[in-house]
Amino acid sequence: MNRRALIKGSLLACAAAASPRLFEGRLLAAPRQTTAGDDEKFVREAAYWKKLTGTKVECELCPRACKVADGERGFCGVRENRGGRYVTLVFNRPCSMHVDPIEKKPLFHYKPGTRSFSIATAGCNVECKFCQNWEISQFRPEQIESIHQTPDDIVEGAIRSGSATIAFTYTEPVVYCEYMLAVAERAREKGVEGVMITNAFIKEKPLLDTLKVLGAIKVDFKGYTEDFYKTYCRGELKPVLEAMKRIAKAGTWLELVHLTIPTLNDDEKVIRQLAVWVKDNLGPKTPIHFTRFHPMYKLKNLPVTPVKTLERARDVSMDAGLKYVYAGNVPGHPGENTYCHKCGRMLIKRAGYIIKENLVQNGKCPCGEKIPGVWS
Amino acid sequence: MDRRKFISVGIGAAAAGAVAAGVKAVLDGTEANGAPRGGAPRRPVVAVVRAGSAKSPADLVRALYRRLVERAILLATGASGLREAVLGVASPSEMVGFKLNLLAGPRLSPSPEMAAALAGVFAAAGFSRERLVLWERTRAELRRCGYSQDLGATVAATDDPGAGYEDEPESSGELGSCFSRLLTRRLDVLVSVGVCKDHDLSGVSCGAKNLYGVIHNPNKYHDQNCDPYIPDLLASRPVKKALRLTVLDAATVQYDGGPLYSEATNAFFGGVIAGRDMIAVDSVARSVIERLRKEHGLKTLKETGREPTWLATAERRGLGVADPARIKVVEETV
Ligand SMILES: [Zn+2]
Repeated sequence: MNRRALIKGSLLACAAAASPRLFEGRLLAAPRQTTAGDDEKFVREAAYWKKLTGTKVECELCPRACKVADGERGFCGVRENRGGRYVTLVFNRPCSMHVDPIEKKPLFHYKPGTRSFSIATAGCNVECKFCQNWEISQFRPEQIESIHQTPDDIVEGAIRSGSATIAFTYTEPVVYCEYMLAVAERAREKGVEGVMITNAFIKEKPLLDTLKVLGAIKVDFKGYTEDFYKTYCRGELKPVLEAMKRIAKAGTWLELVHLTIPTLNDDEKVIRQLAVWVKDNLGPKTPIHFTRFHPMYKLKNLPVTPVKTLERARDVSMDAGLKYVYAGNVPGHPGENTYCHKCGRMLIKRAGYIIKENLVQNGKCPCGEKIPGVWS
Repeated sequence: MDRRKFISVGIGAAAAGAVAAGVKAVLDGTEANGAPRGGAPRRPVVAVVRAGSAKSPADLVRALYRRLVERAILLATGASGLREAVLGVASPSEMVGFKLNLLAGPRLSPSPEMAAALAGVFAAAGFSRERLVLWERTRAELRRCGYSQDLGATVAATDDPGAGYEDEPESSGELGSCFSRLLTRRLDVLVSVGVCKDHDLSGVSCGAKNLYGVIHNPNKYHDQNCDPYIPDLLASRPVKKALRLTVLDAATVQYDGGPLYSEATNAFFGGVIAGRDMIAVDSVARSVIERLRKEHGLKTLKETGREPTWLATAERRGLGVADPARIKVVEETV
């Protein structure tokens, strides 16, 4: 069974369930109904756009700044011009809902060992040739199965599943920011924090609004060259760097992932440049994860990343002065563990998403050093 | 009475590169040399057939559309008879899909009357209704535009149960998309049935832009005036192997404000534009649009920043002829 069908399957299973329940880590909610023939109930006026001449509008959500004619959609496929009014088509419209360990995001320094109620809608504002979730990110909302879930429904689901956070993830939360903001605000009122897993391809104003309601952000950083962003992601590097600086400046907890793809973004010199940039602009204690690539979507001609490549990336980055560098998607590898930046002691031992041991107490190493992160 | 004229557009220095000059001939019927020209065999033919008696889209009833479509297909194929013309496009053992462009709603989409006339022409050549498929992305669009009635053909949508898009994307140049399973699994022949309209991003939306409706992610391919994405789409395996004919319902030509209907910027044209070479058809349609823009004091598409450069790109890649000087336009009024 392909993944799109699997995702659909899980939601259809949702539709059959009488009440929210957990099954093999996946939340089977009680949706009000599926979307077939019912697209209009998910339509809301979009935030972050302006009128141009006539009925044309310009989206002000991401640096792409789509100029959208009446009847057309932005690049993301989830925002549409209707008679000169820009709307989102995915408010209350998740296409995926799972309960994951927070380590799966991955966020390693943010409430470790807790569950994260994870949701996504259709759509993305870039198109990575290696997208692991292209079957939802690269489709329009009406092309995939989705359910109706208000912010209250989501928060209730998170609380019932014992989740400490709600993760906006899988696709690109920037494109469903109206929904994300509404859910995160409601969640915070109920003591649940929102976390965003994003490409950080977002303009300043929506980013600043987002930072006000989120507890943590993980940025999927694609590669430290404009050419890589342009060729493999149809995005841009510079706005992403700017956004990450803003996140760091705001003090919102930030971790980076660098999906390391053989021959495309695994050049040691470039990785060193990235590490130096992170150290200088985000701080040396910003965690960065070099994760293993698996052939996917439009990049099926490349091998799985050798473990040695991840180890080299990790070594190079630590050599450049970064303190918390991880190897990802290699369960059991010592590079998955957290080590105190001062005394070098292993603080958190992991096996994949499972925490085997955690010595961090009150945010500190047994040596007394404060460990960066949000620990409770 | 049939007034039949053969018009060769853009021959010689006077018309070289001048799109509007070709259109003037098309619209005015002022071809200097009234006799058919024996152009080079590779020159594609585009038929522009208009209803002399019609004054508004409402006058274009099915029987009149039938005459327009028959003449257009006959002229576009250069066949000696209608049956031969149709059988030159497809064989009755093949499944023929007519991809409709219904995005703009009933006032600026191929009319069901025209589609029924087109299906009727194929049926008369021996095609069963099961092998003639009028299709669009969604049932909702088909319903909205009047495709729920009996039109002498099968009506299908990509969002029908059991249809959908392919599970895996197919790459072609910069484009990578999941194609409608109607095209990849059910149909042998693709006929693009579009309209003749301005498009805010691609410059014009006629035969080629209509095919954005066969892929799952059209919104990803609007940058740079859709160039090179439209040529990439035309060069893709599913489209290339199936595309055989383009027919535009040019009852109304919208020369600005597209892709949706704009009351203030359209004109009654009362015709059908057809050809085997989609790029040539779109080039001629572009000329019609440019001509109307000029008449209404509007800037050219290039001046407005949405020149359909993909036409020339497509020609460079051997996907058709965009240069008006190399297209044989045949105009006729019935
Ligand atoms: Zn320590």
